[in-house]
Amino acid sequence: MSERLSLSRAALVDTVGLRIQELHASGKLPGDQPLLRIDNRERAREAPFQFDAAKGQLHRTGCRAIPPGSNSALYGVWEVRAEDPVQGCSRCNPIEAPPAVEPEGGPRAEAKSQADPKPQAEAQAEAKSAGSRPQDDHAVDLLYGFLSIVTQFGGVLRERGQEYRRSRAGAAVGARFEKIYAEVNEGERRVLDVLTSSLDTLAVALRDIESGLHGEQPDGAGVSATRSRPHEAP
Amino acid sequence: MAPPGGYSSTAEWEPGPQAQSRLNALFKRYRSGVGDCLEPIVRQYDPVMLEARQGEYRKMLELSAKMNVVGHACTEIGGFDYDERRHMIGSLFGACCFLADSFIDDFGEAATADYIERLGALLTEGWFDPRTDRERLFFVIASRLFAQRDVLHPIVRQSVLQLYLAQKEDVNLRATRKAGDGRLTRGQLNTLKRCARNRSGHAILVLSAFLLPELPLSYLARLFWAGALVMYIDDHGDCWSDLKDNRLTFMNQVSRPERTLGRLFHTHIRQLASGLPDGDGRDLLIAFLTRYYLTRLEKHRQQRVKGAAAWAIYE
Repeated sequence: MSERLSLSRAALVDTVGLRIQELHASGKLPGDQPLLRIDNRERAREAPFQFDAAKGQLHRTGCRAIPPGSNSALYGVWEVRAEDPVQGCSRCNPIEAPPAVEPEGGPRAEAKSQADPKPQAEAQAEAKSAGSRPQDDHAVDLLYGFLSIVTQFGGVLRERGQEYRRSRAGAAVGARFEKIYAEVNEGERRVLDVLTSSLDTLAVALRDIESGLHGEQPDGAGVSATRSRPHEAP
Repeated sequence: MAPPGGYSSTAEWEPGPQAQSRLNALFKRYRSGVGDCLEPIVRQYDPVMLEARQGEYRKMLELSAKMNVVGHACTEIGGFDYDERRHMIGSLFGACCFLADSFIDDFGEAATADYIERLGALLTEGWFDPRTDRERLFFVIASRLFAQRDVLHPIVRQSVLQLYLAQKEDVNLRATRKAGDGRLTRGQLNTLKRCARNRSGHAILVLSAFLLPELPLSYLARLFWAGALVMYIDDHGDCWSDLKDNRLTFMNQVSRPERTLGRLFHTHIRQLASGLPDGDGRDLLIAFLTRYYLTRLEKHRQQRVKGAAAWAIYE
């Protein structure tokens, strides 16, 4: 029973995902917003530390001891855990306290000026305030939860939502949401933004699927119709 | 299979009969199990693959079984059990890699460029706009894989991006041309080697990041090295088919490939043996790499004599 439920849930998510892509391809989605941005290169470059996976060595960001051949194997690191023994670069000294000031032009002084000289704790605190990661699977679970409720109770929810929005309690909740949003850190806000933007798009797709189910097939964009196309090269 | 001798000797890190029989048992289990996860998806989104391209489908299952064995080892190294959910992740990841590779290799240069551009759009904007059954299958498999994990986790995001960039560089390097004497410069050879390292090094990190809640930095480098070794071995096994396709790799351009691979194998295995925590996971990974090394040496020798077969599977 639960296996069947999880299969039908997966099939539903597939359908919604493909439908969203088809709506985008046909230009039917409002705006030109990204759906989900996995590319975090800019933020990774700004992380306080860089881990060289090819050499197994941790550096402070900007350290010139990072070999050129390792540039394509770097991982931005926001937090170095004490229980995770890792080899630190002897030049920028990312694990210990920041190196003592050396005479100008000395190798350590040079490294210190090139690399971010902030102590590890400070660098990590910054990273935390910048928000590095949400809870595991939290956003995905929310998305699934939202999907299951909307698909099952879509009509009822819409009516209840309109009534609630007009009520005093609804207005109060709205204000509280804004307050919570203002207080969450940047990372959490990023997740919320992605989630709400995805839900927006999702809502359009669900409406579209719903109208399809009620016989209003959108312009040749039905999933089953597209699936029956002959195989072509990608 | 007995080591062919010379540089193939593995006595120093011989994982032992227990790890070997465990490797056999896991391969058997995953070869028969990956289809349960993948067959319904393929049947729904690209049924032609099941009906008309059985060889290709088998190859996809074989790659997924291999990813499950590697994933099993990585999960145990991280201190977790390889449960049913992780089995599904390994299967989806294998299928995802197989389809991505096919977009790059099997439909000509224009299709390769188009795929690289659209995969870039998928990772930066979330839009892929699948156009064919095969692309819909890829998109659905990738979506199901992404739904198994917090894709905004920094290591997940970075490893996926790094893998994409490595694939992109690999495609760009196909245009590499030799100098007048028919040989690559040292710089070109190093670039090919780095690209091979990155392609599979980042791939194993993507797999591990999907399987483990956290990827400690102390394991990250070791797993990256294990992945890099997989690619050197793989490219040596595919040497003749790659040359036939006019595709340059580090392993088909280096002057004494078998000796070079032997050195790489021993260096990497030594690092893994000493750098990973003692346990079943480490032994399984080393047993897998040793088996892979020996079978690909044999594949290289066979294909030199018999010619390259597109979908051959070598145990």
